[in-house]
Amino acid sequence: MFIEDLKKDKEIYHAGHYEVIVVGAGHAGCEAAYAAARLGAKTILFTLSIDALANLPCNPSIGGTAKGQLVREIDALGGIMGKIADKASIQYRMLNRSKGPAVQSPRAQMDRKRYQEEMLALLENTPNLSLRQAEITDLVVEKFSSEEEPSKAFQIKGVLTKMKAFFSCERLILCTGTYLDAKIFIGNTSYVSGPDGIAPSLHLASSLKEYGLDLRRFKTGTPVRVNKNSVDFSQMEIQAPDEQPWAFSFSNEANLDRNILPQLPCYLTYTNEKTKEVIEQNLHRSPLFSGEIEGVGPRYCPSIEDKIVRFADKERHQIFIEPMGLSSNELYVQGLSSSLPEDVQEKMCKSIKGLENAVIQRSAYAIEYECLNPLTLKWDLSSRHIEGLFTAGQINGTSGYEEAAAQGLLAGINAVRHLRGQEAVILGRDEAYIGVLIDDLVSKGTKEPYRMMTSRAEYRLLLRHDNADERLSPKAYALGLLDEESYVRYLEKARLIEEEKQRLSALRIRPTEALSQKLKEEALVELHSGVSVAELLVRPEINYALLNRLGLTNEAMTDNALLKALVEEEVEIQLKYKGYIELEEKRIDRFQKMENKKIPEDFAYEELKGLRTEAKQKLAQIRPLSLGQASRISGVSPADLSVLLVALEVYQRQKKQTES
Amino acid sequence: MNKDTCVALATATGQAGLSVLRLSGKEACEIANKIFRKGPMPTFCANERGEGAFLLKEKAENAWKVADLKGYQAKFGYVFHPQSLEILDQVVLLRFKAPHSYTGEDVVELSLHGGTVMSKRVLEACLLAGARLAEPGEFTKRAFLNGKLDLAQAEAVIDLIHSSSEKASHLALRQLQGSLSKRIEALKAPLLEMTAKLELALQYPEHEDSIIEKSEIEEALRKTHQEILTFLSSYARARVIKEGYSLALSGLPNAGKSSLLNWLTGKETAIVTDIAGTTRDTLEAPVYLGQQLVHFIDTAGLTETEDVVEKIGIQKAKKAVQEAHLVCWLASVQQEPAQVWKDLQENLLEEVAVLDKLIVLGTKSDLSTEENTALWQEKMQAYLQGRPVFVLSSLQQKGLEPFVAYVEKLCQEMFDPQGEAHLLSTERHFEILREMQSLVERLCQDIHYLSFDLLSLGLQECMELLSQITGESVDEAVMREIFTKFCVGK
Repeated sequence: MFIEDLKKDKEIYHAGHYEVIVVGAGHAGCEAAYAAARLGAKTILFTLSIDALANLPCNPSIGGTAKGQLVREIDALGGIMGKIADKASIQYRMLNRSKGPAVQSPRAQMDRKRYQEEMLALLENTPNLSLRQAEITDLVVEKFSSEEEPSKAFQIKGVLTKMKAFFSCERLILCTGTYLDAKIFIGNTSYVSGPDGIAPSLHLASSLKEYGLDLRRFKTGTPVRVNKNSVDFSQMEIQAPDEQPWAFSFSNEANLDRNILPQLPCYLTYTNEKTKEVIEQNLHRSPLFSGEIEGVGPRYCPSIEDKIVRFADKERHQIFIEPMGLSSNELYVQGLSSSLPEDVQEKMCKSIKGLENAVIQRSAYAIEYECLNPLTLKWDLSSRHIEGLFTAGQINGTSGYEEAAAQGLLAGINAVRHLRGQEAVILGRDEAYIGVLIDDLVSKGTKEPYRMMTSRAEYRLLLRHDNADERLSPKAYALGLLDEESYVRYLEKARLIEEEKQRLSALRIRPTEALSQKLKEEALVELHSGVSVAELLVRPEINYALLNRLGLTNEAMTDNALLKALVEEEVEIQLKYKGYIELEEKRIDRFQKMENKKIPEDFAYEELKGLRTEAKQKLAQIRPLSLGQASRISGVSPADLSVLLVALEVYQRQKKQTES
Repeated sequence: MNKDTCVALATATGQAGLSVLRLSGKEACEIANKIFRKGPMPTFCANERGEGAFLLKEKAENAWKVADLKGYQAKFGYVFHPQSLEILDQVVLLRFKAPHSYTGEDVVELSLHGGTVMSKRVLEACLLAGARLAEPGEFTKRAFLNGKLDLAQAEAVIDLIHSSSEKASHLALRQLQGSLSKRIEALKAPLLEMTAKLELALQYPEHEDSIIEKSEIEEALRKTHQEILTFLSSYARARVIKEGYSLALSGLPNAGKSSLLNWLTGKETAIVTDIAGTTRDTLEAPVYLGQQLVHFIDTAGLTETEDVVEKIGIQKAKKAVQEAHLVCWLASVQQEPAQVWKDLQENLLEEVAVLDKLIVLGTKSDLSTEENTALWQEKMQAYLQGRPVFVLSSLQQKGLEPFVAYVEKLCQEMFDPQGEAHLLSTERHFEILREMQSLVERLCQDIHYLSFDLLSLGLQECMELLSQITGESVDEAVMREIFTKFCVGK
């Protein structure tokens, strides 16, 4: 609705003015609202239902491969997901522990209700932040024209609720998740609804289309939930939590007094021939195969019927049974995501070992929703079409709580910075998984719900979960996101790491008889000459546990055993992997050279001879800020890049000439 | 960027059945218009001097225009000289419309009846009509600037432009046609497969199918290492082809090295006097023997001396001898073979082991009888364990042929570009592969205690290095290099 038309409807009333409005209180919305408020902007967060705030409608866990890294980065930047997850974790499990520090990923099962409660409590007590249950039905805009950005025709002025309340604002962040024109499918039945029976958002999508936003339909799904009392765990393999719980949040990792919820196991079982038979006999009843669902689903998170069809020769598929919370009997049956009719779901479930008598509490379903083409976004997550509009989370074509939260945080930061005329915060691919995530979305786009994976990051030896604070906390502090206490804690840890490294380099040991004897006991290679302990630690068979047995650790480092362990872990990684870290740094140097080759925003691609048409269109649409960004746009070939580089060089020379 | 229209023969010169002349640039059609008429050649008519020639009756404006043709459309017609109006040849004209041409520009190609003279005259006609003669490799340079070629191909073009011999250009052409990229792809394939498996295991640690064994990766790495070594070893041979064969002329002072060089090059390249020690530095002269470029290196006479300048010269000479592909020891046929063999051993064989690339040239054969010369040759051969001996006279310019034929044959044997897989010929590619080789070696060495994340990093880096060769992964520094070599934007 145009702002001047508000007067025409007498029922519309002005309900207040906010600097930042956030629509949607899922994982993106919560982070966005919290970040905006933390930066001092007067912020309001809208949700269709406060009871559904920060819901985990699919798997009850936070983290996982690559996602765990995102959570750590969010925390290092002053975000909240890690802190809340630590309060609700009922099973800590570090993945890929044996496969090297670069791919180690933290993951924890959540008490779903607890997670929501903790998030609500935090947001309700955040200064500058209001929470409001309401359905937003319309954007309020005014006409906009700018020579610099000809693609922008409108400017955000506020939003309108279903109750005709007009909330005016400076910047708007949309985090609508899977709610926009959402539709649920179970067998032949389909109905308009959000996840977990929550009302969908039925008016906003058409309003967005009206202002020229490029919307499309994506799909995702979730499996059945069963009652714990009906499951025979004796038929399944047990998956125990980590013996030593850790923490997502850097503020908790060395906190000795922290309360940790009781830790529960997960269970593993398998589908079998019978499951396969049930599915094959009923495939025709799936809306996915009959073509009723138009939305594009994620390939890496397929439904069970999808898996059976695509991997026809596979005898069994893994099924993980995960707890939904301490106070609930519900169990999440990971791997049984489906949109088959309920009677088939029942048969399918009962065909599985340990689930023969399972009582289903919630059915599996597929859900379809509207989202944006992320190619219409800029690197700060603002829209190329509407001034003052930012988007984050599933509306940008991603899937996953962590991906959503990461975007929410950056959208929140950048909305406020934009409002204040400050430079946008854009994280590099060599700085953070968050940087990889946003750069991928904005420059490559996505044809299916985008999930973060470790393989998407080129420089993951440096983008480890353990050093997220080192990578991002100084930046976050400078931006005003990270509180003083967290920053001081970070500095202290950094100081201890540096001192410990120096101590190990200075500490030299000689191959004395006593030492040789000790090494022999450990069945290790003998020392022939004196070395520093730092050099010793580079050897594959040497670790801190051994240094401890040899009496070479620094017991006086700190009283905090947790902190000491963290420092030692970090030092060991840095020393042991030094050669490879240097290799990674060399690769980053190469990458940086392309990133530093800037392209002027108004560069005239249309006039560039030699660019292929597709490349020309993509470049003109996406307007990369550097040659590096241009190189990642799909449809831009190396040949196009060489044309571009030549043209840039000519452009620079001409500019220099006109200047002189 | 060059906007003008250039012209050149696109086929090799010589007595061929057909030659193609290419015009490329904005005005290609307009220029073609000035020298081309469609239809069969007009009947015979005399010129104003009454001599028999095919002349265009009048240079009337032509209603039909070359630009009327669609892209890839051909027209039968004839070409005439724009000034004398003489009709030159019956031709087929083929039009390419930008950007769908080799250069990415408007292109007109004329298929002429072969023959150097005729081609030259049509070329001249084009120049008179407003075209500019293309520089060597200019069509390809334009193709690169217009985004028609990838990086490896562009580098091949640079090699092509600078290629010293036909074989070298052949090598570059093969790279241009993608034979290098193919070999790189083959190197990359197993690494890619391993990476995919590894990534699956890292991404889905709890999935039962995501298991990868180190032994599998190790095997792939070892195989790759072997292949890189083979590839790297081809660099030396490719360099000979690219840079030419080098032949050092060595011998005691005043053995006639400079005289021979001057004879070969046909000009006074080296100062020749009867005073021993005139040549104090190594002198290099490129000479084409057949299609092969041979660098003759005239080295300072090797002899013990106190002269400082001469000493430096001798050091340089020894180095040149060591690096050369072939070493000729020169000695006058007046000297006793036994003495020659002694000098040879003292000066050359003692310090640099060159016997397997040595030949002996008996010089100044004009100072001896034919009979004695033959005897000398025979005696000399006995000392040399089968290495060849030739006899010649620079003064009378006699006896060069057998020696030249021998060198030419050696060059031929060294490399047959058609028969082999792609040779590594660009220094940048060599450096990249060497870097990769040391990385693979390190990975093989460390594999037993390397964690999977590091293995993955190693594999990724290997593939990235390979991509830099083919240009799939674009490196700013490389692009700059290419850019400066082409001197665009001046």
